[in-house]
Amino acid sequence: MSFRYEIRLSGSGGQGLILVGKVLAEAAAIYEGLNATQSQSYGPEARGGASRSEVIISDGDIDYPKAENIDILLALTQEACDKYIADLNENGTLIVDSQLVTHVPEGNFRVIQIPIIQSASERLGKFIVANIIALGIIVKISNIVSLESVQHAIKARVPKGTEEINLKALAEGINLAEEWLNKNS
Amino acid sequence: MKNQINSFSIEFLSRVNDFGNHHQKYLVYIEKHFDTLFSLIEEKRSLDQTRLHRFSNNPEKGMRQIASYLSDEETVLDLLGCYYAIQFLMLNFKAVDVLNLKLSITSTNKYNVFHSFLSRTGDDFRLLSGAYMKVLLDIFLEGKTPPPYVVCGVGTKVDQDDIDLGVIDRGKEGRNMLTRAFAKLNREMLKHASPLHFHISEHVGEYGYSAAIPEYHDLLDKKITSFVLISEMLNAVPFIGDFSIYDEFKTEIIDRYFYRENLDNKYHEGYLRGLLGEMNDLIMRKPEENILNPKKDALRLLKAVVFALRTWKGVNEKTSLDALTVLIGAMPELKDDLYNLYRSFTFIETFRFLYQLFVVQEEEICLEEDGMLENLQKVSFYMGYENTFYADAVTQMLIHYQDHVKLSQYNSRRILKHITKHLSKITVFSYFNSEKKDNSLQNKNLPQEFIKSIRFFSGTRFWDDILLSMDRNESTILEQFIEDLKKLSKDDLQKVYAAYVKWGARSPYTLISLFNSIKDKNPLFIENQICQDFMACFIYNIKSRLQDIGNFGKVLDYYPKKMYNFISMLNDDLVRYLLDILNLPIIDAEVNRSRKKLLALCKLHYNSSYFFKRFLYRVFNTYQNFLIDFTNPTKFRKITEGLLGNIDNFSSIDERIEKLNSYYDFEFMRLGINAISGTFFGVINREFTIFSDNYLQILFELCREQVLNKHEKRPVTRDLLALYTAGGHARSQAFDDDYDLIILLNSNDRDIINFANEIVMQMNKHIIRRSIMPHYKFADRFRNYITTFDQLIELFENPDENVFIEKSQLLGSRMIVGNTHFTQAFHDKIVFPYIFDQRDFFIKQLLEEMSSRNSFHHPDPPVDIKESPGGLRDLENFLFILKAYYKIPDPISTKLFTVISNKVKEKEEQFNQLFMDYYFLKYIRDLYHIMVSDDDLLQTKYLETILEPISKSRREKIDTAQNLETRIFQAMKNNEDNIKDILLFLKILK
Repeated sequence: MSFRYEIRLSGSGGQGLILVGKVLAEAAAIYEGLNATQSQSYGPEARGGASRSEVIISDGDIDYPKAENIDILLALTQEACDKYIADLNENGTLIVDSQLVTHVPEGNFRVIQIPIIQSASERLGKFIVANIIALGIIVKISNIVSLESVQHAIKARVPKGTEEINLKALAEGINLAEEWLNKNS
Repeated sequence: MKNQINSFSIEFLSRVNDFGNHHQKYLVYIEKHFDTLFSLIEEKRSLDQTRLHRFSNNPEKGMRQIASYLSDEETVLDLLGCYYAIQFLMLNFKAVDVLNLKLSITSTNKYNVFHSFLSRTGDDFRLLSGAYMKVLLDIFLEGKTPPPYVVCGVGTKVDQDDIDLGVIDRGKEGRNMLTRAFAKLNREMLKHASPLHFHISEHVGEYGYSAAIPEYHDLLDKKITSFVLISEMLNAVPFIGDFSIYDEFKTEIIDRYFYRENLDNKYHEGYLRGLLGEMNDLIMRKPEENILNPKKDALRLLKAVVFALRTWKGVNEKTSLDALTVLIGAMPELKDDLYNLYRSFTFIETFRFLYQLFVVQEEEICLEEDGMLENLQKVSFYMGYENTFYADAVTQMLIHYQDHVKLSQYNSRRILKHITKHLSKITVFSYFNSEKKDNSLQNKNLPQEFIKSIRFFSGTRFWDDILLSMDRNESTILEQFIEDLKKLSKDDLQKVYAAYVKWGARSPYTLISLFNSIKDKNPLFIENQICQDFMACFIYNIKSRLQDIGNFGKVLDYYPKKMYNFISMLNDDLVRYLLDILNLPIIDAEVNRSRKKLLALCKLHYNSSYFFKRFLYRVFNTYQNFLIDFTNPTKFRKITEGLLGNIDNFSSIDERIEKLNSYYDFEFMRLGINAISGTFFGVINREFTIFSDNYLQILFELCREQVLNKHEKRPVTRDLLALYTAGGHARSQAFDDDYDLIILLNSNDRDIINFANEIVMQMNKHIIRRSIMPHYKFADRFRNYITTFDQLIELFENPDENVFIEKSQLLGSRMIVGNTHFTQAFHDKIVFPYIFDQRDFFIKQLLEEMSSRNSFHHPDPPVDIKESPGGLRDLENFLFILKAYYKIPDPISTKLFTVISNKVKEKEEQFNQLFMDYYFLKYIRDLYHIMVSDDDLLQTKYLETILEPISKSRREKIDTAQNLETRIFQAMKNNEDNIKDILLFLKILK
């Protein structure tokens, strides 16, 4: 029986969530030999306030490209959290930026609240790498792709000259997730 | 064999490394499989046909050959992936080499070079990716006959970051086979090529990657759904499968979005409303300075313009640039605008392509990111720029980029007007354009009928044509709309509100405009509960969301008049609700900037007295184009300086007076905003005095000129006529709601009196229109605007018990128009003989006035800041007493305090205290005037309103209204004590 793992990355335009989707999909498909699809906000949705990028990873064929039973929902804005929470699986995981998502919906799912954007500014001095910190958290929490594959995929996706800071951000995300897991295990 | 790849790859690898990191994925497959591929091709002696060393003009042939050599699917896929990777990189090498060549031999028209570059590269990419997909699909269909289907490319053909596909089939039968094949195709494309996106199938049909024509009918027949979906369908170019399905699809689905003369154009109209809504948004957009986003900055807008014109004019070209080229020829009336769009389009599309090739496949370009300038340098060189002495290549490119963004917005705005005209001719809402009552609406309720009709157009955001029709004076439709609203039951009203709010949710401009139109047509109806409930429903639906705040902010950016008028229609509860949600930050920098501006406007309105609101209303309604940067004090100040400087550039006096009035309104508003924002009141008072003196002086000159032009005989007034201000304005006090004016004439010549009267009458007319009431201090007594010296002398020779009031007015006055000769005569003939030389009588009268007033003014709240003991009146009378006592003719000012305190050194401390408390009370009174009410009786509960600017400007933390009231009482008590103390010391008071 093949598995199908669905990740939705949501927030607002300009937060770099499409890049995170591409990195995850390529890490799975190119470096892990899994199947993956990646899609993103489209049409009027892309012009609205909430932006999304979706990745489906499977070891079998992905015969339907739209994510509907989300295993991990990342929400970097309140608006995105409110809009997409309904598609989160029972027992799925909601990862939110604890400063931007203050009203966390209740439900039968795990909630991970981490100050992602603040960490990017304070620990790395770059607000712009918050997306990669979020990716690190997802990698640690989902365990669906290896760290090494994600590192390769990042290096092959970010602009020249920014590889190091992005890899640091990934490590920071992994650390933050580990800290959370240690506290909450 | 390793030698083969090595010799092949040295230059190859170096060139790939010049591209962005995302090309490394292709190298992964080339390094893994090149040796196997090369040896296989060499073994089969087909090296010349597969073209490993340069881009093939028939890649499908090469791929099919490779696939035919092996039977193991996994190996075939690996080798095809490797072959695709080589060809893809070769394609891009070729593309930039040819671009380089063409740019190096073209010195004039870069834009045609960019066009041919984009077109050729797009064709090559579609040729290569299409061939790859065809071959892969054949493999994944495993030789079985699939149900009929057609694959169409629906995106921009030059885009390499993803490939947008639409797959149309004949129905659900056999679709599983297609779904499985496309699932595998999707996987291979993500791994080896560009990810596929099946957006259309995400919306149409139920499952899988394809949908049939009836499923398109189900989704699109009853409502317009999504103009983006329609644009993709219009872009569709079939390249795999049964093309007859596409032909049917085109006839049944696509063609109805084109304009068809004398036929039902509902679909065309709906599509246009979607596109124009997007165009409006993008034209209004103000990008952040440090971020480029070619799609949002221009390409989306340009494509929307082209799609709108394509469907209007029936242009079938499949790329926007090709369509634009045809349109330039087909629409001579828009030729120049379209040609400018063509230039911007080719420039920005080429920039985006090269950025995605050499840097990263992201839409957003943060200029502050590490290494970005080096990365952009590559892009600039490939776009034909060179470093020069005056500017490096990147700077030149970025300046041109910004020029093209602005040009795109400018030209699109002009074209939008043409499309709007076309829309108003074909609309199903033609009854809005009719001047007569439409019979089809008989027995129907217009608000309900309209909302029913727009269901088909759900999601579209352009209704300017309808709103314009409603606004036309001769139109009766809005009256009918209002009357029909009144006829609805409570339940029906709630439904109508909800439907309209839903309609306007994504484009608040429409509802804001509707409320503006209602107010213009029937101002009383805005106060009606129906309208108030309607607005409440609209406002309470707005949340602190990116989309809501972004859309609202845009209305303010581009229609400040409509936005301000709308805010001024809201009751305090609704404005407070808006303030609450606008106080919350928004993460998007662009929207956050709009949020702050909107918050500033709501605060300004909410915190303004009725008196100040009249200025806001007039300025927003008269000069909205100047108000784009009303939150930027520097720019605002430059506008007012420009307005002042511009007055003399007009030839007619009427025009000059009109410009002078604009200058007054703007300065008044600017200083009001600064005061509310907490600017130090010393600065406000000084600037206020300068501008209002300017105003009165220039107004006097212009009115004088106007009167002179009417008279053949020109009376000589030099040294004889002067204009003084008295009261608050004379004391340099900002935001008085009246002007106390004294016009003195040192002559009894009837002609001069009549002439001066005419001037004042003219001035009066203009001052009143500024919402300032001019008071002519001696007009009541002498029945004339003009007061002669002789009239004053006669009065002072025969004084009554109230004459000290006139004397105080003169003593507290400040000259605005006049000269030193006049001043000298005024002092010699009036001030010294009748005030200073009779000071005992004058002082006695003032002391009696203070005593009598203070006997019935008690210090309990609400405090009268002017008339209560220790209030402003006492302080001013005290200063008049000392002016008379020491014979000092200077007006009341900080300088006067110093002059007097120097004369009573023993009481320096008390004078300092008086000085501080006088300006504190004056400040409180001025703030109260612009933020609460132009009243001197301070209500405790409203003192809260002025706390924020007090703490900002005085750096004095007073945190509650109660504390502020206590502080005011304290100041007044101090004044009472200090005045008494000084007057006793000087033995003026016994």
